[in-house]
Amino acid sequence: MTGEVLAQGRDAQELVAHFETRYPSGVTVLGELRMPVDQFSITVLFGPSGCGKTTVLRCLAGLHRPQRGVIRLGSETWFDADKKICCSPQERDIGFLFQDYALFPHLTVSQNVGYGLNQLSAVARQQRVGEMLSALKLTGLEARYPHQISGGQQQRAALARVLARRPQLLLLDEPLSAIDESLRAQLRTELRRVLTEFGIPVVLVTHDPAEAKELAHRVVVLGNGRVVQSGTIHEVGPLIESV
Amino acid sequence: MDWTALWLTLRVACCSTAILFLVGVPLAYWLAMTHWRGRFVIEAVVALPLVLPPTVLGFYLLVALGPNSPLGRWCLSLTGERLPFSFAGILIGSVLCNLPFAVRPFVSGFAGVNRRLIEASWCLGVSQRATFVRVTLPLAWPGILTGLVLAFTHSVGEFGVALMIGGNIPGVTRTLSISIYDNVQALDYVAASQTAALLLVFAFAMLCLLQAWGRREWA
Repeated sequence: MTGEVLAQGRDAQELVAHFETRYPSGVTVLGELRMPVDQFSITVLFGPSGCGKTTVLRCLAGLHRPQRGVIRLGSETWFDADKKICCSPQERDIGFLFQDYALFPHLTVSQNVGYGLNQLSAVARQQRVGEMLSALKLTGLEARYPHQISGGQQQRAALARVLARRPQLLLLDEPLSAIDESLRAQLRTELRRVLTEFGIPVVLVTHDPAEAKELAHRVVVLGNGRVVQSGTIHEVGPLIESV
Repeated sequence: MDWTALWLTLRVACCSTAILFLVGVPLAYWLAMTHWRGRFVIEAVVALPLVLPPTVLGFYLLVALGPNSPLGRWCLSLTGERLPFSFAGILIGSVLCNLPFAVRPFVSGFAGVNRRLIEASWCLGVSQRATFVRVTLPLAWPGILTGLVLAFTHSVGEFGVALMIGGNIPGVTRTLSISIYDNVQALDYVAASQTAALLLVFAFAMLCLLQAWGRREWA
């Protein structure tokens, strides 16, 4: 990716990422991504297990520091190896949905959803939590602990928690992988409905072709730690089927 | 029953446990999170009192805190009092002696916290310090509680180091364990058995409380 492209990304409210990270084992992951963030879209990072999808997502979130490259969101530089800039996850205004949801086990559903809303007043926080519980169909489960609700409800609670802050960018790491196969199709539709309703741009990681086909506006196919192909689902469809 | 010894023992145990909480929690958190290759040296130093005879630890403390040592001279010039054979002396001995009983369970508690939960908190905009207070500490609490109870209970029954560094001065350094020793030396088995029974019941009650409190209510 050239400097010109990076400069365009800065002006055009785009997420522009071009970085390289190496593990001590010698495995190298190259992340190349460009997507608009001033409008709703779902960019799917697709690839087999171990190809570096989650690493790319963690680099975008600031949970993993690449060795080289640049990550910018609009005019904000999140990471620039040459300028030694590396914003912490707290400074990036992102919502990260972990594969295992990472709900806090010692907090109730309601407390989990309101966890990141400390900047709001108590009344506003309570109101926002109520809105999120209603939007994600969690009303009535406020006082339950994560282990007292089903896998699908946990997924919705975790999604409510990241959406409650209205982040600039959502990063979803295999959001349906912990759900039973029989429920996945139903939850895919539900997930798409919720994401569309909130209108926050999404980068979603999956190895499930059905998930990529149903959710993606744009697909980036990864293989062996690098981008193999990217484009719309129609353009990369045959490749996805073959992976 | 030697009530003065009981009061002194409780003071030492409470102060020692409080100091171990303040010093041990940051040390244990660092040990649980660091990737530093040399951490095993620090872990070995922390665990040393577990395998070292209390008399050896007490002897070195006596030498290190004595008026002829740099540390002892510094304390003497600062406070005007000698550390050996004083309350402060047996408190230092108690803290060092109980370090592994507190820090090792603390480390286990912190190491058991799922790293994803900490990262999830950061990604929700919560600072590292607030994450520690709101997520890490509550989730590590069973381990921390275990460490505190073990340190407190062991501190109450501590004998070797207390005798070496504190001697046997009534009202100043004579703890319950030393009182039992004193009673046996004087062939006063009635008084010794009363104090011993008290320590036995106390230790058993503390361990019962530990088992009851340590259960995670959300699990």
